[in-house]
Amino acid sequence: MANAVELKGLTKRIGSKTVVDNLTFDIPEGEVFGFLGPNGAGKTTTIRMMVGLTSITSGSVSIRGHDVVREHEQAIRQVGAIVENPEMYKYLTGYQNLKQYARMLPGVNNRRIEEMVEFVGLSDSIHQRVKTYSLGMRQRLGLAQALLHNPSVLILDEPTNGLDPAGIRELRDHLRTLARTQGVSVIVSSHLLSEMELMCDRVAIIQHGKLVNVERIGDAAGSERAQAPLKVFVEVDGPSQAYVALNGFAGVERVSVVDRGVEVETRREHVPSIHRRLVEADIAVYELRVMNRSLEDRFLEMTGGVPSDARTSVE
Amino acid sequence: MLGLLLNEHVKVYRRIRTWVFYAVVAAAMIVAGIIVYHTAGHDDHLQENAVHFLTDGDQAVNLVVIFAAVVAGDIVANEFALGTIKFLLIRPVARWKILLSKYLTVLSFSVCMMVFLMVTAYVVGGLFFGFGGADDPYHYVHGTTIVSVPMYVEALRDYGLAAVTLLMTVTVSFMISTLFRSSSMAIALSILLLFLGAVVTHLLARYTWDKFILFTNWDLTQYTEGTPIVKGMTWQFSVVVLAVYFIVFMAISWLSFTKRDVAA
Ligand SMILES: Nc1ncnc2c1ncn2[C@@H]1O[C@H](COP(=O)(O)OP(=O)(O)O)[C@@H](O)[C@H]1O
Ligand SMILES: [Mg+2]
Repeated sequence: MANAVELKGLTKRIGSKTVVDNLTFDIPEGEVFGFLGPNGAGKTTTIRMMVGLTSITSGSVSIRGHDVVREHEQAIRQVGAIVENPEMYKYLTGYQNLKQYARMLPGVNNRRIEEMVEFVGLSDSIHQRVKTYSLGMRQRLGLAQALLHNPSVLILDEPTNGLDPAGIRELRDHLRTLARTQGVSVIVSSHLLSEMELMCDRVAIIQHGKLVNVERIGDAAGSERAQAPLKVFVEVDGPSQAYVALNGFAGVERVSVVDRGVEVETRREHVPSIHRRLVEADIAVYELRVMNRSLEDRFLEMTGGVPSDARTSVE
Repeated sequence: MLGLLLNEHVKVYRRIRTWVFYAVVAAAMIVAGIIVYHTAGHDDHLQENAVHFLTDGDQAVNLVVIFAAVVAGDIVANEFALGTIKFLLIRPVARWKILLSKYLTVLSFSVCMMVFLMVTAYVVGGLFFGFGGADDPYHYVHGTTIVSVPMYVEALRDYGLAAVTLLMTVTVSFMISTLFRSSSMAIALSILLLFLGAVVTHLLARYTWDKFILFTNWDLTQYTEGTPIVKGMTWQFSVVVLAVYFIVFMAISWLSFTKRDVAA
């Protein structure tokens, strides 16, 4: 796959502070890519540089082979974006807001506007003034705005702000559809790991403006996938019984009792036999959930947070 | 570019504020008409007519200047205040074109307001005092001689010269709006300058450099009626000074809009 976006040594200094420090990575066509980092990590500043709102101190961003500084118009033509909150003209209707941007983009007619309104599910309220919109509705309008000209790169800064869980799931489905069927490269930022895990193929973890790591989420292929270390949460009636059944069992590296069940560190290939073992031991299993702890651990470690479900080890 | 101009006009004319401005101008002229009608004696009534009322109506130009300065001071800064500037600048359109479309919209609004004022004054004057009288002589003192011109020439000249002050004020307001990205600062400062400018310039009249100050030059009626604020100033001199200020103001707006980071 060709790279849609390339960042090379991207750096931003404001005064004496280095807000974005030497970021280098590529984003291929059709990938949903996440910027994950705590507030103040430099995600928005990176996005501002990518769309030319802010000057670049050093390094470069290229979009579909066009440098965003030297060939700004060719590069930005490929991009749809929301930077921070989707701010609209409140005294105009949603439709009039979209019309504003349609007039600045080549080849966007009224039919296209209506298609996008329908796509984001705003048909019922598009002729109301934006004043009356909730943040979630403005996010949708922002998404419609970003998609008007059929961009090949979509950049969304904290797009889940103001969305309810159903809205987040819907957004995730939209982004996946765009990425899979139209080859759109989607870049989303967030300070919430759980959302990134749901939405992204790969995540770049950023802290203090520096790239900590780029991680692939979930579906690594083949043997790599089978060997991937996992944490599995099993909800059972008797956690201590389950602990006894699994402690030392083949492929189980570590078991710990947690609230309403056990947590098992293992590899993906062993998950079915762990389940069988519990069933054979006559333990009622209500839920068996893979928790991709490795990324979360790293994220919590670097952001200095504590896991929400603090473990109580029985060893 | 047409799309950009249309966008800016939509943003100005979809605001209720804009229509309030028009309503205030119309109301001011109607009230002025009523007052003149009831206070002027019968003799004066005979002389009063649409064009004469229009000529006196130039007192209301300041109202237009204030409203135009509000629009000029808001047109860039409000995009920053709302945060919409981010959506505006991530388009395949050069920043200077967006700035130019905003400035042209300010000029178009100013011209519309001015024309609206003149038409309202003429119509109100006509309804109260009768139309006609365009060719009546108007006398004024120029230097040591008394000059006489048709009334309509005087009216057009008054408004034409007032338009120069209007142009310079909105340009200052537009510049402050772009430079400081704050509507309230732009609007407050430009209106303050409009009223304090004349005072300042008269206080400083004994210094020779006073003639280079913007406010000393932007009221060109000093060359038709009355005397130049600083001795020896000519209208050609003032026009050149104003042109230099205009270019500097535009250059500052242009630089700060096209070069600076957008952190709204
Ligand atoms: N215009 C600015 N002037 C000074 N510091 C800034 C400016 N913009 C951002 N910063 C700083 O840069 C850092 C990164 O900010 P930002 O990119 O908004 O982070 P994020 O989007 O990841 O929360 C923050 O510490 C912020 O204080
Ligand atoms: Mg941010």
